Amino acid sequence: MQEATEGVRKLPVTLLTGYLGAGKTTLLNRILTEQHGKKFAVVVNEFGEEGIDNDLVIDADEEIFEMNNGCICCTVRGDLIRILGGLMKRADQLDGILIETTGLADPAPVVQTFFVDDDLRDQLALDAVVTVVDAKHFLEAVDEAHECEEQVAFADIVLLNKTDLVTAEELATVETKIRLLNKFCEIHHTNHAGVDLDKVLARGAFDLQRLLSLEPGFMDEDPEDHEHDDTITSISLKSEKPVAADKFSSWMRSFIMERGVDVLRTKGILALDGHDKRYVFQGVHMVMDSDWGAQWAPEEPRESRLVVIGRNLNGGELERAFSACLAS
Amino acid sequence: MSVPQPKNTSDLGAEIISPLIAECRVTLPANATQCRFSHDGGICAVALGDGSIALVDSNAPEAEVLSVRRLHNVAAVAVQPFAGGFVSAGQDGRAVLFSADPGSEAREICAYRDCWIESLAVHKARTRIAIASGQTVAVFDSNGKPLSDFADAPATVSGVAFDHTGERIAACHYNGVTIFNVATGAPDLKLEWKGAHIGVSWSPDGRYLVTTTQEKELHIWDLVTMQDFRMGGYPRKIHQMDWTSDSEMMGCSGADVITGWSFAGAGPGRRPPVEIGFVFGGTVSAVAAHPSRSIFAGGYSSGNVLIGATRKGEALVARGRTGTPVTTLSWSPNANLLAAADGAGLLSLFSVPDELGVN
Repeated sequence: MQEATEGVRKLPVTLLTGYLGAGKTTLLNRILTEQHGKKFAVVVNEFGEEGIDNDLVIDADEEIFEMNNGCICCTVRGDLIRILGGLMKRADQLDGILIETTGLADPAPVVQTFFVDDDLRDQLALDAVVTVVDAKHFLEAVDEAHECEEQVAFADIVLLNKTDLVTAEELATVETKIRLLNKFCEIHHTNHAGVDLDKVLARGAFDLQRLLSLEPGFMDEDPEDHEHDDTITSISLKSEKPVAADKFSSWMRSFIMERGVDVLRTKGILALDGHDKRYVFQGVHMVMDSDWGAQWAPEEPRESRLVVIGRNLNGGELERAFSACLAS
Repeated sequence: MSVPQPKNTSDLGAEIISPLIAECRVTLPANATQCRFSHDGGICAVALGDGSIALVDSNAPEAEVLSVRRLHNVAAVAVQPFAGGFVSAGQDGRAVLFSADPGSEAREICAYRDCWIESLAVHKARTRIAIASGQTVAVFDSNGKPLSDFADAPATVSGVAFDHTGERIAACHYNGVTIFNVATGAPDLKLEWKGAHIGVSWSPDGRYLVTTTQEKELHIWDLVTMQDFRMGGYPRKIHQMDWTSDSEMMGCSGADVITGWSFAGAGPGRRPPVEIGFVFGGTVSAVAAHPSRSIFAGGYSSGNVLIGATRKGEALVARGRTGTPVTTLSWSPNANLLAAADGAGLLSLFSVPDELGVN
C-alpha cells in the first residue's frame, strides 16, 4: 500500500514508431521546437538534428534485459528503466515523454518495462502507440518487410503522412490496408506531420476508462474477413448476449499464453453476466490490463465487443471460442 | 516485534512526534534530489530538479535560504561537500565546483554531450571526485583537474563508489561490478552477478561491496574471502544504503522498516536484519547513518522521518506524514542536525540533541 504516491499526477509516455523517412523526425522536431507551451523529453536512438535543445533529447542505448518476474521471463528495456527513472527527477518540469521505438518494430519490451517496474508504474502512464506511415511508400514497404505492418498493428494512432504526394485513390487504398491491419486505431491524414499535437499526445489510449469513449465504428466487423496465414489481421468479435466471466477469463488466459507471441494488440469492452459495469481490457502481447468501466444504463443494449490484432489468426476459430464463453 | 496497529484510519496521522527534536521547514523552488551539509556543517546544500542548487544556512534560527543558483540546465542530481565548497552534477552532463559565496564563480569540471551524469562519488580525505556518465568513469582532483578516465565499463554505469583508500572505484552496471584502479587506469577486479545493478556502496573499511538490483535485492561481496551472497525479500527496489562509520551495520531503504544488516563478526549471511522505525503504509525511501553512532535516520514514502538505534530497533518520530516521499537525508558532520528533503521541495532541518533517548 503506497498511500503517499496515490493521487500523484502520472506523466504520460507516448511510444512513437514508423518506418525511416515516414515523418517521425518531422513530428519530433515539431514537438521539441514548436511553441505549444508544453515540454516533452524525447528518448531516441541517435538523434542527429541540429538546433534542438539537447537536454530534452536523450539517447537510449537499447539495452534489453532479461528479467525473472516471478515465473515469467520477460525482456524489458533496461536502459529505459534507468532513463525514465532519471527523467522522474525533473517530472515537474515536463508535460510528457516520447519514446522512439524504431530499432524494433515491436514495442512489447517497452510496454513490458512499464508493467514490470514498480517505480515507473507509480509515476508514469503509458499513453499511446503512435505510428507514422508514409502514404507514398507504405504499400511497397509492406511487401518488403513485416515490420511495416507490425508498426501499424500496434498503433492506437496512425498519422497517414505525406498525403500531398499521393492521389485520393492511392490514399484510400493505403487507408483500407491500414484498417485491415488495425480496426481500432485512429487515423489522421497529414502532410509534413502537420497534425494538432492534442490529437497525438496525452490521448489516454491505454487508459481503460477512455476505451469506453471509442466510437462504435472502430470495432465493427469487416464483411471481407479473409483468413490469411502469416500476415497480420485484425479480427473483431461481438456479442449481444452476456459473457460468462469465468469462461472468458480462462479462455483469454490460455489463448494469450499459447498465442501471446502472435497476438499483437487486444482491446475490448464486455458485458459480463451478473455484473452491471462494463469490463474493459487491453493488451500488448501477453501483458494485459483490465478494469471495471461505466455502469450499463438500464435501457442500453449490453453489447460486448473485442478486437484481436495478430499474426496467423483464424477468425472462425476465434468466433467459436468466444461464443463458447457466452453465458448459457 | 510488536508493531502498533491503528484501530481505524483516523489513527494513521496520529504519530507521536518526539518532543526532543525541533524542526524548522522551508520550501525550495523545485523537487529535491540530494541534500548534503558543508564540511563545517554551517550550510545545507540541496540539489533540485530544475537544475538549481539551494544553499541553506543551518545556523540560523529559521531555515534561511542563502542563495539558489541555477548551475545546471536540467535536473541537478547530486551535490557533495568538496574541497571547502561543493561539487554538483546534473542531467546536462556537467559537473561544477562552487563555493558557498553566491557571488563566486562556479567552475565546470566536465561537460558530457551525449550522456547525462548518472552518479557522483567523492573521497573526502584524498579530495577526489568520481563521475559516471554512459560507460565512462572519470576521476578529478581537488582542483577539478582530470586524473583518470575509464571508458571501458561493459555497460552503462549506474553507480560509483570509492573504497576507503580513494585508490579504487567500484562501478556497477548490467551483470556486475567493475573495480577500477585510479593510478593504473585499468580494471582491478570484475565481479559478476546477472541482472541490472542499480547502485553500489562500499563499507567504510573497504571489506564489503554491496549493490542493489532491479530485482529488488542486495548483492554482497566479501572482498577478503571472495564469497558473495544475496539478500532478497524487499517489496520495492532499494535505492539507498548507508553504513555506520565502524562498518558494522548497513541500513537500507525499500521496506516498511529500515533494514539494518550486521556485518560484524561472521557477516550478514546467517542473521536476520534489525528492523528500525516502522511506518504503517509507508516504505523507506531514504536512509542516512549517524556519523559516529549506531543510529539510522529513515525517510518514508509517507513523508515521515524517523530516527532509531540499531540495538534497540525502536525509533523516534522526527516528523509526521506530509504525503510526499522523502528523497534525501543527511546528517551534519557533528550530528547536531538532520536534513530531510522531498519531491515537493520541502526541506526540514531537525535539531537532534546528543541525548536522544535511543541507544
